Amino acid sequence: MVTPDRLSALFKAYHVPLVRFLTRRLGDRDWAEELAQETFVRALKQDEIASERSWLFAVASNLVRDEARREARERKRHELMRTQAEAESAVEPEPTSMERAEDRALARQAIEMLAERDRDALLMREEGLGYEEIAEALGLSVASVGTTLSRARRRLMEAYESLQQERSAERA
Amino acid sequence: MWDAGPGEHPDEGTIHAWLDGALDAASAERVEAHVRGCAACSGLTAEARGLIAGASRVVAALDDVPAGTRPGWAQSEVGGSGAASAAASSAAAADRSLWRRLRVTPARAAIAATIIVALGLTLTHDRAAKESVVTLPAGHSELRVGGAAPSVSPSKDGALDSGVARNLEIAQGRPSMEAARSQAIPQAPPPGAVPVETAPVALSEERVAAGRSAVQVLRDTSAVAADKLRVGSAATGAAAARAADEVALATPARKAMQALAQPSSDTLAPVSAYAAISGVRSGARSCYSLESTESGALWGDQPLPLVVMVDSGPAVGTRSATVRSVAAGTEARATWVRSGKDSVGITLHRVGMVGTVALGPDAGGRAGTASSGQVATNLEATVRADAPTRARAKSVAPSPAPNAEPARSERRVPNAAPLQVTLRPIACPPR
Repeated sequence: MVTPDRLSALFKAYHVPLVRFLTRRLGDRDWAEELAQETFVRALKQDEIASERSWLFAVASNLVRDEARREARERKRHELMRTQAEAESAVEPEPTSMERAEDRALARQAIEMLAERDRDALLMREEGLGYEEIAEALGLSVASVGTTLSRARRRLMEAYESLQQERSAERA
Repeated sequence: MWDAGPGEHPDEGTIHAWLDGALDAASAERVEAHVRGCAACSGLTAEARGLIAGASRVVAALDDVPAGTRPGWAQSEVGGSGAASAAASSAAAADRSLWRRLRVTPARAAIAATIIVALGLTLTHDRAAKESVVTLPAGHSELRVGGAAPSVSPSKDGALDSGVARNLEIAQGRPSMEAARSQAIPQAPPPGAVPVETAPVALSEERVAAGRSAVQVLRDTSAVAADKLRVGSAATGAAAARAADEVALATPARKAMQALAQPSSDTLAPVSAYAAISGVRSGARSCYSLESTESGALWGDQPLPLVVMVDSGPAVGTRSATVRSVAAGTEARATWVRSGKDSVGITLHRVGMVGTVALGPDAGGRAGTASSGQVATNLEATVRADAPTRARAKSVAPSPAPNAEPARSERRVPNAAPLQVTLRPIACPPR
């Protein structure tokens, strides 16, 4: 069982990156906080954790996946509604706010277009996880992490640029 | 690992791994040598660099997200069933309280308590060594801040267990006053803090003081917020709502959970959260004389010296206080704020006056500066062409409309120059 001292150290070291990872993954900070708490609760119940960071990110990723599987259709519909609402509400008086809102909406759409494994690998890498840790968290071979990341980055940028062009065409 | 033969190009994944620093030294060297001599791979590398930077930028744009946008279906217990999802969803819509949103289950409460207590123990231990003994005014015994009896304090695990048990109680909806009463968690003892023979008395006194101060903090916080509510009749609806929120969030345990739920880079936050629950880092009621060597010195509209009576509360942080004029015998409310670096600020709350005192660290007394002045309150009519009568009425009655133009303005007239003042501890006069 993970001792309270150890758990405290884990919390101090990984709570912030874990919440950021989950926020990027889910698009909602409250939800991310909740799943992060659930992740640490599970760590408390764990007998032993060999590779802590990859274990925590793997559990967090699995929690997201479990929820997504449960109500995938509803989530998709909600995302579409939210994206539309965000795009509509982007008509704000301050141009900076509007641009940021648009960037955020495009980024959210683009990241949602990635395959789940690619998305997780990319977001974990952005949190500083090494290739070995990503491989362990996602059940990949270390050799394939580079390929996964390169594919994720390429597809993300292609999706983002495509969405940007669509937006520009709509304005024009 | 990239071990290719001559003329073989590294694939895109290998180039990304190389740029990510994930290849071993030998492979990285081979890739680098190849890329230097291969125009195609050099182009691929440049593109990969762009993709890495671009992807990071897009991912970073995801950080600017609001809270509370999670879909209704997801507002159920994590890992719960579909039926539970629907039920919890409707319940969540009905109850948007902090507790509800945090979904405090016994297990989560336990982990929250464990984390808070463990962090608090760790960090307060670090700071305990730096804490000095705070000498209270004559008539008070010394209270050791940040120290505890080594021989009779429960073990660290005992403290953790009691923290878990207490938070479970909180999560199960025990009355807030009961939660406050049980706040005296003994801090894990730094060795040699208190002699063994005096430890039981010191510990029990500290527990009583900590419990009392916790309840006092609760009362003070609620009272201040309630005052704001009353003043809210002369403020906007939004301000009144904020004051109501403060009342609702007044319990230390809730603040602790908020601190946990909203982590920040400020490493003192867990300590504050721990202190809010445990109340171990608290100070008793204390009194001071605010003096100046300058003749005719005034703070607010009262001549110095003034008696500053600070209510019991956290040793570091905000406490309510009363300022009594020695000459006139009148009193005004004030706020006492002691920072972690032992500086103190006092802010006067008196209608028509502004006053602040900034004081340095305690060295048998505190030296600093005081400034004050009158607030000239002007009632201004906002006359509108379409509704002059109503607009004029706003000049004497607060406007309930959140977007209404302010009907009152404040003009601060500070004293010409700040006063040099000293604050020295004295025995508290009768209330």
